[in-house]
Amino acid sequence: MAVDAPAGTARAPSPTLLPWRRLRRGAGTVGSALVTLFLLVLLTFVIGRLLPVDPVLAVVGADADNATYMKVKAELGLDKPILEQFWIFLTQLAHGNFGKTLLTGRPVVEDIGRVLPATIELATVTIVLGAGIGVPLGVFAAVNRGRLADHVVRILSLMGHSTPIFWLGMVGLIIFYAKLDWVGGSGRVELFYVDMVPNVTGLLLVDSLLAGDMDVFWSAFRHIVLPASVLAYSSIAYISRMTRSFMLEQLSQEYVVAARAKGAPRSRVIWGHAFKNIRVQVVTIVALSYGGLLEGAVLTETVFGWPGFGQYLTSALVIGDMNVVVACTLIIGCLFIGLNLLSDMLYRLLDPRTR
Amino acid sequence: MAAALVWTPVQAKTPKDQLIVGMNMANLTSLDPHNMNSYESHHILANVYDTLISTDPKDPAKILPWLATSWEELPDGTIKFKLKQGAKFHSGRAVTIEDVVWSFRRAVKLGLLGAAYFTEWGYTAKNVDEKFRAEGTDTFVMDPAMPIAPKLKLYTIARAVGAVLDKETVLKNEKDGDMGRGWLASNSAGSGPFSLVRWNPNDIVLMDRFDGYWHGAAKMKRVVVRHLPESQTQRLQLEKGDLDVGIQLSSADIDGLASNPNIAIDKIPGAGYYFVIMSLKDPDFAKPEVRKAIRYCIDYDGVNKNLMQNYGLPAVSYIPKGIPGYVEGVGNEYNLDKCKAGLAAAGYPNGFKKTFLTLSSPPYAEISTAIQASLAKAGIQLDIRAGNGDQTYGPMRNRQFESGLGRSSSAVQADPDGWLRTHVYNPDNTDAAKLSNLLAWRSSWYVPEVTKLMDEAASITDEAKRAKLYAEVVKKSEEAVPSVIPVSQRVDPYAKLKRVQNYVGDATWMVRWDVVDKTD
Repeated sequence: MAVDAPAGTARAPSPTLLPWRRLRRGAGTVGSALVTLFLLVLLTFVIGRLLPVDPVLAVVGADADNATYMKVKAELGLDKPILEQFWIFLTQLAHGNFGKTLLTGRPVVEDIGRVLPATIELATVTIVLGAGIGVPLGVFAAVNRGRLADHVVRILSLMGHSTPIFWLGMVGLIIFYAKLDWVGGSGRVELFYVDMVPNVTGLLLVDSLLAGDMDVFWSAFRHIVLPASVLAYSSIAYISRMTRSFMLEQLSQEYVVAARAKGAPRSRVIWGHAFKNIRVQVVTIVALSYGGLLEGAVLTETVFGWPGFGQYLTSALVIGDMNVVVACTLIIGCLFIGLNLLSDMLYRLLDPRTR
Repeated sequence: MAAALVWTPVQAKTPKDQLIVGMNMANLTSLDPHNMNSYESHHILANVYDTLISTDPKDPAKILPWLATSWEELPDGTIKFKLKQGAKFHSGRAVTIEDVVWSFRRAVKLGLLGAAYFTEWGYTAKNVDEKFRAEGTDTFVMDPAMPIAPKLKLYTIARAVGAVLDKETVLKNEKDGDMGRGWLASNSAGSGPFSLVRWNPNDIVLMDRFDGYWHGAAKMKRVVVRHLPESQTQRLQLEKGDLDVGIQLSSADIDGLASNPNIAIDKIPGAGYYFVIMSLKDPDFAKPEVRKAIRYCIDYDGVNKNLMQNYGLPAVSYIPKGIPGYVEGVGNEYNLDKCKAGLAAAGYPNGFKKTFLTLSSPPYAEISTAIQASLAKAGIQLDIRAGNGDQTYGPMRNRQFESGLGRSSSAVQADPDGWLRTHVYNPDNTDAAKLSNLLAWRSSWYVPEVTKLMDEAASITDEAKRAKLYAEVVKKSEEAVPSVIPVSQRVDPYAKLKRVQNYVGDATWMVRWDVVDKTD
C-alpha cells in the first residue's frame, strides 16, 4: 500500500519541501518493493534447493549412466554449495539474465514470453466475466436478502466454491465440446490454425483481430469460452459472496434509510448511494482475484491443454528447476505489486477521503 | 443417465493432409539425437533424421538398409557401411560420408546420454577419431574398440542415436565448442521425411514435410504433436475425431475406446519389464532363500489379468519365449504354500516389514498395492512409499532402498543381451563404481560368473553359441536367485482413428510417420 503523509501533522509542509518529500516517498515505495522481491527470491531459491528433488535425474532420466549424470550435474552448477549457487544466480539476475531452464536448456525469458500471454488472455476474459456477472449478482442478492433470489444466488455460489474445477472442466468438455459441439476442444486454437497469424501481443484474440483473420479469431474464441467460463464460475462465486456482504453492511446504514425516507428512487439508493461506498472494496477483491488468475490455473490449464503459466511453473517446481521457479515467482511478485499500485490509484479516484 | 453413457460425440475431422498426434510431453527434454533416451523423443526423431540402417517394425529382429545401401561385418568385428548416393539434408546439402563420420564421433564426444551406448563397447572421446572413419567417399568404417558382437551395435545404431546429422548446419550454430548442442536441443539438421518447424516444450511440436526426401515425400504435409497430459482429454479428442493418434492413454480410457467403431487400439510389446527389486544391502533380502520364497508369494496372474491388460504381458523370466536364450521351465510361479514354507525355512515364519518404493502414477501404484496384498498373506508387510520419478529412482540409483517397483527398458529388443544386461550384469559391486544404470548394481546383486558369461556372449559372433551362453546366464542367475523379479513385460498401447492408414507401432519406438495416409 502506498504510504500517505502522517496524519495529524501540526502545520502544512512548506511548498519548497513538497517535491523532495514526494521523491522520498516514491523511493521508499520502490525500495520496499525491491526488498520484498529480494526476500521472495531468497526464500524461493533456498526452499527450492532444500526440497528433496533432483533436477538432474529429471533431465537425464532414470536409466542414465553415472558419467552422464555427473557431467550434467556439474554443467548445471548443482555440485556447488547452495549459497554459491544463489550468488551466481543473483549476479546473473543483476545482469538481467534469468538463465536457462534445466530441463530443455532454453532461455527462461523466451519460455515465459510464450506462456504468460496465454495466461493473461485467459485470466482477462475470466475476470471480465467474473466481475461483470459477480458484482451485479452480489448486489442483487443483498437487495433481495432472505428471499428466494438470495437463496438461489447463495446456493449457486456455494457450488462454485466447492465444485472441483477439473471436474467441472471435464464435464464441460464432454457436454459442450464432445456432445453439442458448441465450443472448441483443448488448446488455444484449432491445430490447423497454429502459426497462422503473426505474433504481436501473444494474445490470440487480439493478434487475430490485428491480422484481420476472423477464422482464427473465431477459433480462438471458441477455445477460450469454456475454460474461461469454468474459471469464471468460481470467480463469480467469490466476488458475488463478497459483494453481497459489503452491500448488506451499507444497506443497514442510516444514510440509506434516510435516502429512502427522503423518497429517492430505489435504483438510485442502491447504485448511487450504497454501491458507491463499496466500490473500493470491490476493486480490491477483483484485483486480488485477477492476481490469483494470473498466477495460472494449473488444473484448468491441464484439462484444457492450455499452454499457460500455471502448467509451466508447476512442472518446473516438480523437478526443482529453480531458474524457472524463481523467475516465475518474481513475475508473480511484480504482478501483485503492480496490481496493488493500480488499486491504490483506483482508490484515490473512487474515494476522495484517500486523496 | 443411460442415454448419456451411450451417446456418440459429434465427429469432427482433422485435415486429410495433417497427422495430429497427442502425447504427454513431460519426458520430451531434448531433440538432440545424442542427448535423449525417452520414448517420446524417439517418435519425433525417427521422422526428422535418417539412420544408416533400420529395423522392420513388423519384425524388430530384421535389419534393413536405409541411408546405407549395404553393410559388411568382417571377422575381426569391423563393420563397413556403404552410403547411399543422392540423399539430401533439409538444408539442401547432400548427405556425405563426412557427415556420417562426424555424427558418430559427436555421439561419443558429447559424453551425454547417447555416449553411454558406445562407451559400453570401449569407445571413448579419445579413440573415436581413429575408430570411426571414412574409407573413400562412400564407406563408413566402425573399427572395434573391444570384441563385441556386431549385431548388438547394429540394433543400437538403427535407433535415433545412430542419426546422421548435417555437419555444416550444426557447426554453423556451434557455440563455445559445444558441437551445436545448445542449438540442436530444439532445432534439427537431418535428412528425414519431416523437418522440425517448432518445438514449444509441454505444448506443441510442428513438423513439415520435406519434399526432397530420398525415399519419396511423405503423404502428410504436416505433423502436429500436441501435449495432452490428461488421458481423458486425449480420449475425448479421439472420439471427437480431433486427434488422429493418442499414445499415452490410461487403461480405463483404452477400455472405453475399445468399443468405438472409429477407433483401433494397438499394443506394442517392448523390451523391458515392470519389476520388483530387492536390495541385497538389506540383510534379509541378502539371503537367497528369502528371495526365492518371495518369488512364490506374488500373484502374477492377478496383477497381469486385472491391472495390466493394456500395459503388460505376463512375464516369467528375463528372456521371453521366441528370443534366443529362452529356457523352458525357468521363472516365476505363484504358490502361497511354497512361499510360506520357504520363509519359515529361512527363519521368517511370521514374515518381516520392508519399505517399498514406487511411482505414484498408474499402473505402478496399483501394481504395488496388489503386490502388497499378495505378500501380506505370507506375513510380509510392505510400507509403500509412492513418489515421483526422482523420489523413486533416486534412492535406487544411490543404493539407498530396501525394495521397490520399477520399469526397465532396453535399446536392443531382438537380442538376448538387451533383455538380460541391466538385470544381471554387474562388473564391480563397490559403491564407488556407481554403475547406477544397471539394476543388478543398484540391488548389489553380484555374481561374477554371470557377468563373465555375459561378456563372453557379447564378444562372439557365432549366434548359436551366443544363444547357448545366454541360456547359461539364465540358469546361473536362477541358481543365484535374482534380485529383480519381472512381473509384466512392458507394452506400449496407443489408439488411432481407423481412417489413419499405415500407422505401425514399433517396438524400437522408431515409428515412421512418412508412410501414414488418411482416408476421407
